[in-house]
Amino acid sequence: MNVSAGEFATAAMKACLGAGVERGVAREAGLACAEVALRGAASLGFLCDHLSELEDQRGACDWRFFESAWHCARISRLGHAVSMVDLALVAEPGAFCERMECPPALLTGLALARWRSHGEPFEISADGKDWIAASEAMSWLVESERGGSLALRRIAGRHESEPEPWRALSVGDQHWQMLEPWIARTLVKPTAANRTDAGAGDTDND
Amino acid sequence: MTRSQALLREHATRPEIALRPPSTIMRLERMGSFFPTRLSFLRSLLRDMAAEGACVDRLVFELDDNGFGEAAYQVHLRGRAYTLIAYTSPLDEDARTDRVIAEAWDACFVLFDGIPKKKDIDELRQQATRQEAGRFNDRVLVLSRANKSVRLFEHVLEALADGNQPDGKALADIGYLMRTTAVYGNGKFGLADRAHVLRRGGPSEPFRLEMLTVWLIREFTFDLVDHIARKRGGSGAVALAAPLRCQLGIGNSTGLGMAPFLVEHPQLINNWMLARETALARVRAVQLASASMREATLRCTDQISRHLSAWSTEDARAQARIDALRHEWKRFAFQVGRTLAVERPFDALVRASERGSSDLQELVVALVLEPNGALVDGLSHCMDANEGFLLDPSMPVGTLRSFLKSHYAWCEAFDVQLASSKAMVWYVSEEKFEPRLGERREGANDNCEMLHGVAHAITELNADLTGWGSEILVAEFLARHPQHRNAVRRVQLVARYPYGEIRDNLLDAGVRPIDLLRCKLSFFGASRFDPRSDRWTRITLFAGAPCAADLTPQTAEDCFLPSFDQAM
Repeated sequence: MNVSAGEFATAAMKACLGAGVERGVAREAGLACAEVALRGAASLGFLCDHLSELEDQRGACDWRFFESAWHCARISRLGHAVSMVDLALVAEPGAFCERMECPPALLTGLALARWRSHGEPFEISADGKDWIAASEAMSWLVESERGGSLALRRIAGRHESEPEPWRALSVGDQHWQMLEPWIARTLVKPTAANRTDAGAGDTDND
Repeated sequence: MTRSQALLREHATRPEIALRPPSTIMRLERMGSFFPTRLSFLRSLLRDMAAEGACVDRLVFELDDNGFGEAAYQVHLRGRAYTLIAYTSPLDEDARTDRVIAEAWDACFVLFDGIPKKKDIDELRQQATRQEAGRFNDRVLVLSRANKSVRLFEHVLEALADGNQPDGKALADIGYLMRTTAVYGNGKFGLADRAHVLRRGGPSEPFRLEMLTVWLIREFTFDLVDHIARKRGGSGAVALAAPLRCQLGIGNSTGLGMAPFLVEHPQLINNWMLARETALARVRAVQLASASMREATLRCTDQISRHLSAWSTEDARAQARIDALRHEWKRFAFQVGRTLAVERPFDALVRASERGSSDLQELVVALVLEPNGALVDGLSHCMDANEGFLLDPSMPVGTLRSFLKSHYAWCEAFDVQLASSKAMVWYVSEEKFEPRLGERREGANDNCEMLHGVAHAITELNADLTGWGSEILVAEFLARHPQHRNAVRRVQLVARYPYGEIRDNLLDAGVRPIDLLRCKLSFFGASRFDPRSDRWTRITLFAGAPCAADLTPQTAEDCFLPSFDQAM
């Protein structure tokens, strides 16, 4: 199906919100997914896997006693990725930030989104030795999508390529539908009572 | 430097009167008093189209005797063709509702980028008539639908078919033949993203394509009613008279979706407000009013008087405000001529209005901007925003703290511990994703909360900043407190875009969303606000505006606050 990049980012953000991810992190995660998709790679599968993982972590907590632990957990790997980009951005070009456990596709997307926003390109490494520009990391991501720790740094010197133009995306129905259960959690079931919460009459006919 | 920052800098270097501060403007009561001005989007659209000599061509008009079928209208703007495609079909009375939750409509529309082929028109029908359930591609820019006014359409039709013009009072009371119930753009349902439109050379002005769509829908409604009248009345039928067409607009009913939009787009709302306030400051700095300026201002004063006389609503609270404003205006209008003769006449008018209600003050803003197009109109091209801002992690905590102090001290006025300060929940219904506002209930799912209280978030951020050294970077603070990411971004944004934050608590038990609706709709150029509750209003767009055949720089100029009496 045809999806605009903005719609893609918004849907991914809503899925994150549905999973309880903090709004600021969710916004950037949504943009990250769109950036990955604009580069021709699938991002929604990675995102949904991650959201399921958060769900499992929550299930493992006794919420009555570990609500704060859950709070930390629910932003864990995604939150790490967002923080890594922050820390890499404030570090000197070429200096890499500490390696953290985070989903590579989402980390790459976050780096690309920050590149678009701040004009600073990033590169990624699995071992701290071989580096690849985030803008070229898509094929590598598919192979390395197994978790693990990654390092991120700003690219020192000139970087020739540009962020991908914001454009329409083609998304498999199956991928798009994966988001729906998460997004559904942000919606309230309609009732006769809450229909009046819109502030109009039942029909508002003219 | 962004355009709005350049505007602020430019303003700071000119000997003008200071802008009214965000602490005055960004309050709900004030925002709920706004009137459309010449900066409103429909006004700038008409001006730009007229200046360009834009013409509307009817490419397709294949309607049966009852007006069912399809039509297409094309217009060129800045060298690009845009085409409104209209699809009309019978609508069962049982299925008729003007709420967004409707599943069927009298007419559905798309704005197509370019000139559609027959195949495009045929294929789009399947999607356009399903509205939110349809999928579109990036050749489609705007999606909309409308229903006929049950009160007016048939009346006008009968009159025209019988060879008569419709009753002027009925037209004045209702003001439109059709009412849109949604206008979607910017990437929804696969439509073209705004960034994509810009890259292809489309207009940068906010909501320009949506306004163009509504204006073309208005054009279609006139052709539609004339067509059916001709089929029904034969040679005895007459067309709707041009002065009556001019006074009719397009209705719209609008609900809570406007409020989250304003909260979620601080850069954009800042740029709207900044343009408006800059325009006002420029006008207030005018030393002397020329004879033509005085004449134009007096004409607008009369027009306001007529507009206020013709404006009424069934909502008792809103009608009481209109009545009070009429009373205030009567006294105010009396002094306008005299005040125009003094130095800095427009400033004197604004100052005089400050003794009255916020409704009067904002009406006077609209008045003084109106005769000063040369100072104001260029600002209509500074109202867009590049909204890609992600937070700046390199900011020291000390700077963040100072921004909180300088831009968010207003939060301290709200006791966020009180239950009433968080009594309301903004949420989205599964039903057509309709935004709603209800009372907070125990056990409600937090994930469903659409808007979070800014005052609450800032209070929590302030508390968690305690003990953090001023030199430490925001990146480190957020690594420890990621839950504040959204609040930190807002603070950083508002430090750059000071009119970007609404300085009230939208979760308060006493919140009146209608104020937010009125603010946004005034920027669209809506008139005849007719609230149905504190969170829902009917409005009219393009009432008093020129039709395609009459569009000239002069007619585009003469559509300040419509009143129907001009046509009667």
